[in-house]
Amino acid sequence: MKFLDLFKKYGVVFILVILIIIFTILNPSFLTMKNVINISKQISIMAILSVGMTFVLLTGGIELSMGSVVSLVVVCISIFVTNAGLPVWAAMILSLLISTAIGFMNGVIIAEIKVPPLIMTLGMQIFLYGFTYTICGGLPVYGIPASLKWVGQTYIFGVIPVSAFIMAVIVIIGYFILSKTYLGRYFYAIGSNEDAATLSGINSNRIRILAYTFCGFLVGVAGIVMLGRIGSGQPSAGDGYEMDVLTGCVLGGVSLNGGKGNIGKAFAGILVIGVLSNGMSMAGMNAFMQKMVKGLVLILAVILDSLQYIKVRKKVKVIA
Amino acid sequence: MPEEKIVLSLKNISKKYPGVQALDDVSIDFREGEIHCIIGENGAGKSTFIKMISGANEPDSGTITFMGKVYNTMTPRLSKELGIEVVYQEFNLAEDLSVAENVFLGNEIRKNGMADMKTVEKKAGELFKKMKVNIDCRKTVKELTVSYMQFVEIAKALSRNIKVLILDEPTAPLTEDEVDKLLELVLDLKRQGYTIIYISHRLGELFRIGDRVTVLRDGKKIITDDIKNMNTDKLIAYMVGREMSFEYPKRTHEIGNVVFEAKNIIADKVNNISFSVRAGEILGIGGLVGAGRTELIRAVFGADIMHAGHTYLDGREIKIKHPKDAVEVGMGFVTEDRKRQGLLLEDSIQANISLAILKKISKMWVIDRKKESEIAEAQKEALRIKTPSLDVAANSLSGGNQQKVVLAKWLAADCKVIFMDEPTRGVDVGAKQEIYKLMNELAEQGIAIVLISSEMEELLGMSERLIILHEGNMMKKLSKEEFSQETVLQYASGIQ
Repeated sequence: MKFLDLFKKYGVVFILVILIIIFTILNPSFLTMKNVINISKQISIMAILSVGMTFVLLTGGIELSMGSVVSLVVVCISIFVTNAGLPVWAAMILSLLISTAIGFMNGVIIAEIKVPPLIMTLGMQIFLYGFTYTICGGLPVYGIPASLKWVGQTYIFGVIPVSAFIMAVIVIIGYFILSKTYLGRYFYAIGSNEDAATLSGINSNRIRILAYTFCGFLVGVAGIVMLGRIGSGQPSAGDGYEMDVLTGCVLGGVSLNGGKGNIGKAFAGILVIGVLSNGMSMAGMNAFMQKMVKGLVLILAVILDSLQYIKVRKKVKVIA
Repeated sequence: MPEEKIVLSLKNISKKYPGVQALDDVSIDFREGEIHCIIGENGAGKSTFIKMISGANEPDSGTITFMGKVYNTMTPRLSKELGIEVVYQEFNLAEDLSVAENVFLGNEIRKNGMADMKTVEKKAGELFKKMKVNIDCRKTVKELTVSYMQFVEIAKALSRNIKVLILDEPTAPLTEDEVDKLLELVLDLKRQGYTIIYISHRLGELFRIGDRVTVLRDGKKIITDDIKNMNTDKLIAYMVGREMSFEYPKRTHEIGNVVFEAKNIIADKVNNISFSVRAGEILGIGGLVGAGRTELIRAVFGADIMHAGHTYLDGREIKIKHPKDAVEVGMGFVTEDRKRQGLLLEDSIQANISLAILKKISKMWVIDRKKESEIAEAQKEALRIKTPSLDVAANSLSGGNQQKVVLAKWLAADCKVIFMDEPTRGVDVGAKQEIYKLMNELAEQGIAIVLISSEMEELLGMSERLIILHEGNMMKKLSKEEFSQETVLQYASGIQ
């Protein structure tokens, strides 16, 4: 019982340590500086997305379209720069506007028309998947200028990847908003009791829309980092990211029921996913086996989330 | 008197929740065919006690004996099999199914593997006949009034072969004449041989139907005795642990100008109603359940749509489209259902108190934590909220203290007018008195209060003036001299 409580609280950290030990045994080069920096690059996109996902989850919602939006942003910037000849900064801003607008749209339809978030964002995911492939004709867009790749492939002081730096800034901003500002408190409040929050003068619809909009903006940032990393407009760039991000967040204790969780722990959850992917690749597991593991981890995460509601009961004994 | 047969007996039951000893070595015997009342303030351990018997939760130590067999714990299933049923305060009915279907829900009568609706309806009909309740078994539950839902719950319990029926605050949602009907039924069930465990805050009811009474306080059993050896003062003394006579505090302060005025309000279930309330005044709104009292307040507060009408604060017209607008101009709303609409149950007391003023105590969006805890601390002192710390979750408090947290939220927001919808529902006698005292203190500070209450005594005792509603219409305005239970009931029932 005591162990269970401890596990509920620090389970993610526990899992993280165990994974690191296992992977280091399997492949000693796992715990080298080079690989650690590599992992930080690999998780930067997921971590940026996880901040947005946490905002949405806290309000009791979910965002499943983010993978498709990342792909869309990647393709859009590429097309804007290569075909339309826009300057890099303009292409970036325009794409950020697009992803933010998509988030806003998700939010409005979910908050005002009361479409269940799962359905709304899943529909958006499917639609945008098709839309992205349509605008690029199903082919990757090549010919991206080097200045765009800078985001994903350069290092500050020769050690810290720019993408990891952006990730750190966003995680800190997310943490700050949630734990220090009144807006942050509003996200928690509507997630734990929307009626009470509304009657206390919080415009819960507006706050909910804000969560999705902010999430949309962060998805745009993640898209820019993604393009920098892969260096071409791949329409499949963001596929499946939403599930990895969701797994990480839930693993970190952000509740699917809303109102509970924080950025720090969500980040720890993302680290677990990052370490897991990297370690499995280094241990030579193929993509299909990796999928199996990831699926199991998602289920495990949700079990951990539900565990807090389950009580262990005594057995009935007839004494006399 | 011959030795009574004991049906159910709890021996040395203890139960600890994190931070609170909910039951402490409690032993009670229940005799066959008696109405045994359990009373106690909120947090005295009544709900935990029920959970021990129903198997919803298990004791840390102690035994439960049923018909001579001794068990270490109950489970929901075992308790049902033995013939124990609980009718909870919150109904467990499938609203879209018919009355008959609800009665036999989970206990379906089948014929060739198919639900046999005819038999179900017939059997349900017989059951209600036995209960002397006139009801159409084919109606869906959502068409029923609250009191009939209560009867369906009881019928559902009786449809199983039960010996012990536990009623948890069965009269809380009922109006006065519905209460009479329910008490009548309870007495009748006793005559039919059922053992009834009756939990209620309303002392008057206990004297009308109870055989014996057990008083719980702070998780301990204080006394079990025949009700004829008791009186109200004695019971209250046992409950609160000190002699206390119940009365409504007197007010002497001056009444000021009109603070809030509503003119010709039309909303769902509200038909052209106007009222005003002055600084330092408590305006009562009377009426039966379904008269449109809550709907009226929700409409002027922006929680529901107001089709027509005007609202004024300090003589200036205000436009309220959302509760946000209401809170911004200085209106507060203590809702009827504090758990669902009043509190963030799992959040800290401090977070609950500051909820309506977060924006005000923030600079550049950042919450001033120091200010927040100062305000919460001040409110805790002023309202005498009993808690070890402001960081504990709101749901760890007793009902009365939870209600104080809700009040604290609005006081922290410096409200000019506070609407209170059943502010003492589910609150024990001691906390009730305290809430009345607080209401008076608020009125003295010049706050205007609008009070909705289904408890006649409370309504008459606390209000300066009354408006009586009936089916969404304004029936009558009464001034203090015209107050009487009869007048209020007459207008509330729609009789001019």
